[in-house]
Amino acid sequence: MSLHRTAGALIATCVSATAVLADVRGVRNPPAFTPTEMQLINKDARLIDANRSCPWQLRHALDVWEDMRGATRPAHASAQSVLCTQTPEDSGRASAEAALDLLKILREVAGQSTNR
Amino acid sequence: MSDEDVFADGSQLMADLDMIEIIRWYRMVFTERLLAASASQDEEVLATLRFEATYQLAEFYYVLKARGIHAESQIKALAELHNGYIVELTKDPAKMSRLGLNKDRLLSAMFTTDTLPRLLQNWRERPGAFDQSNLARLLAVVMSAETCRKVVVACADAGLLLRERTSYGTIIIVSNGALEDILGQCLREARQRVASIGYEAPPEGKAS
Repeated sequence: MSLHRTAGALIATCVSATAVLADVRGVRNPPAFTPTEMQLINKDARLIDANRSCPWQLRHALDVWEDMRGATRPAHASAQSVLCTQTPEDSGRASAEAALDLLKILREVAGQSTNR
Repeated sequence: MSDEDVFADGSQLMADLDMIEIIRWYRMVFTERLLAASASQDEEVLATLRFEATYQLAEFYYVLKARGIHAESQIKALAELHNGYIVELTKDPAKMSRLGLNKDRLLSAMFTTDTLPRLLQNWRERPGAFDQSNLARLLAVVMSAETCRKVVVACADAGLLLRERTSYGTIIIVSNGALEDILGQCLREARQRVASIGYEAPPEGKAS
């Protein structure tokens, strides 16, 4: 398997694993990719899809791949930080307004019951 | 903006600062106690228990219990009010945007003629039981279905909820009371702390 295909497969695996953890809401500034990285992304349909749906996870995965190649730090530690401890971008957080609306609905349900 | 200078009265300011510490303390201690009560020390489970969405789930169960919402008729009313709220929300694009929601996601959170009977049947057969997808519908405005699933799985792994697969292949979520107890205790203590905030009014005619 060529280096590019190996990289593509590995990065796609990282991205899909972190994408499961991610619960993206709202819009953030898109990450930057180098021309070399864009070449790599454009060679793999899964990476193209990842770049559209979860570009930050793809950015992290590419960083990990770069670390592993350069062996600048323990590869398993880098991989772990993406695969296991990456929290959703919004930590599953919704607005206080929505949470308050939900409390009001529950109060109304209870109120309807006591009014019967 | 109000004309009142919120920094002018030193006593009020000290009380306000106590208040902000209590608000922060409440959220911190809730997570601390949740983690301490967890039967699992798995890193991923603990990380998920720290999510805001886990607090939202606990708050939902706590309010259901504290408001005495336990009858099937109340769950039906909850679903109907929920549907009405969703419909109103879809007509308010500005609010949808503020809440980070889109129309498709909201529409999929509505109870339909297929899902409403299942919600009620689950509750009838086992009071307190929600199908996982129906629980996600009720919480759709505060978390995505995927986050709901993840939080419920972590809570079940931590022994804070029961999560069971039925013979029909659906997944039923039932509270064991742990989330409600932990949140309720933290809330009570926070309220007592707020009540004890001292405020010395300045002598008449004098500003501190």
